[in-house]
Amino acid sequence: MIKGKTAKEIFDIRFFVRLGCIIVIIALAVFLYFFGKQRTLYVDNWSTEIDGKSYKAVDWAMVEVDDLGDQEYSPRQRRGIALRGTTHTIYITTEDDDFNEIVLDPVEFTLPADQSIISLPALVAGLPADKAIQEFIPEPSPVQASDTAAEEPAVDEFGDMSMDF
Amino acid sequence: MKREINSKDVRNFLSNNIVPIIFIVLCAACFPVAGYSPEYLADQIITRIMRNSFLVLSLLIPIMAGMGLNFGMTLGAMAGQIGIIFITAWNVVGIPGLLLAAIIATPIAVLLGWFCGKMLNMARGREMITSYMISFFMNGVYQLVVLYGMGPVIPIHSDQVILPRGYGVRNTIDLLNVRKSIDNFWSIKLFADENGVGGINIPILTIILIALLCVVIIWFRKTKIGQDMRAVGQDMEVAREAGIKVERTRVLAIVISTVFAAYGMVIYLSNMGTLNTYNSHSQIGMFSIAALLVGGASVSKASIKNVFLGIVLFHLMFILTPQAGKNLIGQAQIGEFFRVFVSYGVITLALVLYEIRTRREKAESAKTLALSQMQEAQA
Amino acid sequence: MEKAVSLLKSFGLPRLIITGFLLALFVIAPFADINVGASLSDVLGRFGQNAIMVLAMVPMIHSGCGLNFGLPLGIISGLLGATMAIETGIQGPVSFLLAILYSTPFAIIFGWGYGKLLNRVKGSEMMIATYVGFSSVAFMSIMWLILPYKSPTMVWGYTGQGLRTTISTEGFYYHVLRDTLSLSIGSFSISFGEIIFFALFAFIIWAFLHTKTGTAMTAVGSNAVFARASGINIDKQRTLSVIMSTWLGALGILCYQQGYGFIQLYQGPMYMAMPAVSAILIGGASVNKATITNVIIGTILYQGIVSMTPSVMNNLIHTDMSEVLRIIVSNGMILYALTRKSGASR
Repeated sequence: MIKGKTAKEIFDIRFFVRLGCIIVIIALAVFLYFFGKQRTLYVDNWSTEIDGKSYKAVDWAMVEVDDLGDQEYSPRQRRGIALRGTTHTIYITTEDDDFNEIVLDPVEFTLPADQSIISLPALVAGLPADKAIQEFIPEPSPVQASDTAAEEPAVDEFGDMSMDF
Repeated sequence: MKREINSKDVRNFLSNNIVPIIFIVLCAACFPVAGYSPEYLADQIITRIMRNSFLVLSLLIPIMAGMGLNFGMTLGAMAGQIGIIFITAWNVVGIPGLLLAAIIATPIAVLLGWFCGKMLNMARGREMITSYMISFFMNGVYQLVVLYGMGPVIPIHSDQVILPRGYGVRNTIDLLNVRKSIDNFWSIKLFADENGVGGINIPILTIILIALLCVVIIWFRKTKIGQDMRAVGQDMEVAREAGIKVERTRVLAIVISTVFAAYGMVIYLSNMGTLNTYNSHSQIGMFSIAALLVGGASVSKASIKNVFLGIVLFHLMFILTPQAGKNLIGQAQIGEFFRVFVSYGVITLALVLYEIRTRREKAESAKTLALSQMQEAQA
Repeated sequence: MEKAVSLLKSFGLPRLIITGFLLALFVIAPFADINVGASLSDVLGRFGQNAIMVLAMVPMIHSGCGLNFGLPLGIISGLLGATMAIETGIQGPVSFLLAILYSTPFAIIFGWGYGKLLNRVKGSEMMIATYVGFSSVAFMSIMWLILPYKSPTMVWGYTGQGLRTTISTEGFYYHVLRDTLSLSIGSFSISFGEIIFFALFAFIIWAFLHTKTGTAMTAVGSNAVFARASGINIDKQRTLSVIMSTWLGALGILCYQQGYGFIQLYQGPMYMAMPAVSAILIGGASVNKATITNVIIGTILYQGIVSMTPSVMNNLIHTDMSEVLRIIVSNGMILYALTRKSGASR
């Protein structure tokens, strides 16, 4: 193809149109990756300690992340929410000791990991979001031996004939 | 003008459409035995049309280019599966996820299609058996990549996808994140009762996608490349003399088919909701081809009409026979074996009929040629 | 020097690579704690089991019908013979002879029909043969369920109807050839029974191909126009070759069962043609040319790789990639033969 062609012939308008298309598609792919990636955020209402300061669990709170609906939290509650995209907003409504509703300012945040945990008491106490949010590392569940044995795939040259289509 | 129907016309019609006729009779016989409600069947059939028509449509272009049934569409299915594996590992969900899977699958499908096309150019005259063997060969390569490459070589580290031993993809992957996301994006329900139970789901967006592909195929036939392909399909030597780059056109036909098959596989998997990593693709080729042939297509001629008729009839048989077997003999397994037999049998029958017909036509054209030459000599 | 190059060329690059690979495996084997004697006897045992199925390719290639992807049809005749022999309840080596006897009429009838079909589809025999094989296996899957077999060794215990997926040949003709005239030195053992059995049929085929009918068959395969001109009935020759291939397939599966120990029914025979096709191609055959030497070399190379790779790989890198490699090598070999220019006419 390239042999016997001058640089001008190779880098003509067609080449640049094609290059442009490829770049646009790659950009779209990158955008889709960030836009469509689903991460889990655990909203946590346990008493906790961050940077040496302790925060007590909130007695009652109404929490909405993005526009995924209100959820009510009592002390020692933790719920996982599946989130898509990069930046999110959390709306918190809570009450003081005299049962007066307080609507907190919406807080914007980004997720640091695929699984993150955000501390409700810290947010209510006014800690900035990037401090209140941490990577969530679940306790490793013991792998059952029978499970791994069943999962070992058998190489199959031609597939299973009785499969539904 | 009134056309008289004589017995020869009827016989021609029967012999040209024997496969669909067999299927209609078969389905009609199984329907009362199986005892499914028409509503249930309609819902099932619509689901399966949505699931499979993109895959079956991908077979049309190589047939147009005279390359027969593209058993190499399995390669496209593999590319689609690799795309799906990636997005599941990255946890990209919903329609963006499927779009991303399609984008990832495209270059892989182009590469595989190019390889397949090059091979088929080297095996002219026996494209079908060669594309069949290519699908087996590539299945080995696919398993090498997926079973040993993913993890250590290709960085995928998701517990959902990778086996506990640290490399290799699991046997089955749950595609909860993208399950039915195209179908549910915009769908309406017909004939449901007041609680929203039962009824027939009509996924509008999927219908639009499939209609779009149909339009693209119809439009493609009229473009320069489409015309070239038809010329190559008619007669390679004549096309070459007319200045068409025969080899390039043929490779292009396979590449387009493979890419469409990859997209079809993405749609198929999102509808199914589970990926059988080591099985899904290997059956897709055979069932899609069987469905197309059931619709009355042949090795050299296939239309969009054949695709849809074929999917309806083939899947009707697929749903009805196990239940019919169970009700009739008390063993669902007989029905399952029966449908496997019918799938293979229908391909065999269609191939044999096609060969016999082409030979008869060749003999007839040779006869007329000889006759006209004789007349010329006399004059 | 030039002679050596042309010799190498005729041997073929893929074959050279495969031979080199197999030799390398045998060289590495002692370092990977593998008993070379035992592996050699394993290869020879597999050779004896599989060689006749590979031999079944030869007649059809000679008559120009291409590679016999429809081998499952022959295998099914063999399976019918085997199950009927067990149904009689006669045990011991006699059952092997009975199985051959019972399978012969089936092989002739099936082969005759199959040959007639292939005569009507000249030019795309291989594709149609593949699907004839598949359809017949699928059809027989239904038959194994409903045929009225009664022998308790074969029928499912709890329903009393339908055959088991695998049936043991133990007590019937298990190792009937393997254990005759077998010789063992240390860990190395060789069974002359199997080899003589194969040699017998290889000789029959070789002798047949040198008779008048045999040369006529070869003429049909190498130049159909010439054959027609010299008054040979092409269709008859082709049908005869297909019948022979089918019968050898039946014999081949019986031979395989006596070594392997099990009769595999239902989907079992579905893809059994592929290893045989690939073996003869590895041995140097092409789509329209094959000799007995190709069969012997091909079977040894193919079975050598199949039996050696897993053990060597497992011991060296603790990962068993051998099955995947086997798929790539065997199907790649078929692909190579199909895409070669020399065989482009058919």
